[in-house]
Amino acid sequence: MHATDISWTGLLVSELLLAIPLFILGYYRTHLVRSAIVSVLRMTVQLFLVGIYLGYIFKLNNPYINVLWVVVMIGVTCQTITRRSKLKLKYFLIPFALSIVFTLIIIDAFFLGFTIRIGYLLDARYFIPITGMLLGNIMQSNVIASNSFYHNIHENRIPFRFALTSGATQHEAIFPFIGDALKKAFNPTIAQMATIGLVSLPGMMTGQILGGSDPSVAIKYQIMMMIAIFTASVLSVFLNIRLSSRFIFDPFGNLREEIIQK
Amino acid sequence: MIFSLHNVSVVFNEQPIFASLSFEVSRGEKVAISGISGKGKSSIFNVLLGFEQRFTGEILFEGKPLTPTTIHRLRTQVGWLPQELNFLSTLTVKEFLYAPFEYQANKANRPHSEVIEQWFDAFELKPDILNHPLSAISGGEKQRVGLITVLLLKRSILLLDEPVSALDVATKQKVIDLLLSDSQLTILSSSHDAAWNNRCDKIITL
Repeated sequence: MHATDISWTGLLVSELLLAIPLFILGYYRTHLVRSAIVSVLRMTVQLFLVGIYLGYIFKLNNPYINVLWVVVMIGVTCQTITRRSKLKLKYFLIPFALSIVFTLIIIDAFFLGFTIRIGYLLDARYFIPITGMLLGNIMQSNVIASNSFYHNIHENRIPFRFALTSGATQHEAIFPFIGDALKKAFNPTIAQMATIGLVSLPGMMTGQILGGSDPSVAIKYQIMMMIAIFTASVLSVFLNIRLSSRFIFDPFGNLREEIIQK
Repeated sequence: MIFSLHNVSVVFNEQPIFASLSFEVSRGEKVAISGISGKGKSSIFNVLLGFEQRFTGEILFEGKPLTPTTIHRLRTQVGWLPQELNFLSTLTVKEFLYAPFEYQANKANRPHSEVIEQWFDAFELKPDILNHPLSAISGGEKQRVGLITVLLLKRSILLLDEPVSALDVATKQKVIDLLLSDSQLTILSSSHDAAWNNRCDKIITL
């Protein structure tokens, strides 16, 4: 049983609902109306294009194209993380990309191979959407963690330096900053997992049920995805920070000022 | 000779902080740096500790120039008290005192609670502040806690940035007597305080 299709006219009519949030945002002079309209238009165009090329990619189901598509997604993820963390891409592209690739290999192989047990790990129908969901959450977590970690060390030089002069190694000196970054990045995720299903059904589960899946199958996918997302996000943040720590400090142990966008 | 500075100048963002500074610090000597605020007293410590490389001139530590290797060695021999102690304020006083002893290099030298009590007694601090967060104690208490933390590391060379600025007269005198009469300690300090500076062997004015 497949989901009931929505006509393009129906979709267009549904966009009229936006009048409610736009009116409220405009009434309170939030200056968000224009950016909200632009974002909705961008979202519509982007998803329209995604629908076209995903349909094409699924039809082809070629492993090289599937991997190439994921590589493009990783590139966009890295660029977004550095831009939103106000860090310079040229210093972080390689460690971010390496940490994300390593994370995806482990998580995808484990969940696709051992949990879902699909025979062909690069099957577009599983590989691309699951990797896409992982990347979306990896991006969000790394933005929060990077903002916290690098900017905290930059702004809290004195405790960092005090640690270095009190006998700490480089890693011991950055240890509390890593802890802070992990807390900031994952407190919300942990809180969300605790209440999932109580207030609303999560998106993936909803999509599967609408697509005709039995709820008992949908919840298994949802549980698996939440665990995969949580594991991938924490692992990628950890690898990211540890990898980039190798070169963001100068030979005297100071954070290089040039890594931060002014 | 512990430190030797020759014609050292520091410029930040095209603003001169200090120029052509020359002095030496011998083992066991107590040297005070004094001058108007903003004249770069704290910058001298940043340069000596390798936190700032934007300087010209020559700086030697135990006869060797400041390279990454020398700086790493210097940091294991020097205890530094920064001027600003408003950090890690979520820690309690006890956690702050013991934090350096969580590092691998210091684990074997973790002090017993009696040692902390002795220092508290010497610096006239009440033991009940041990469980208070750093943010909840006064500036003077914070300054003494910072000093004790540095002294617990048992380093023979101390760099102290305004070590007595927040202390009352009586406590200040006690701290001065304790630190500046210890012949085993080499102290380079920056201070506005005349009582502290006058007890030092040498005063460098910026």
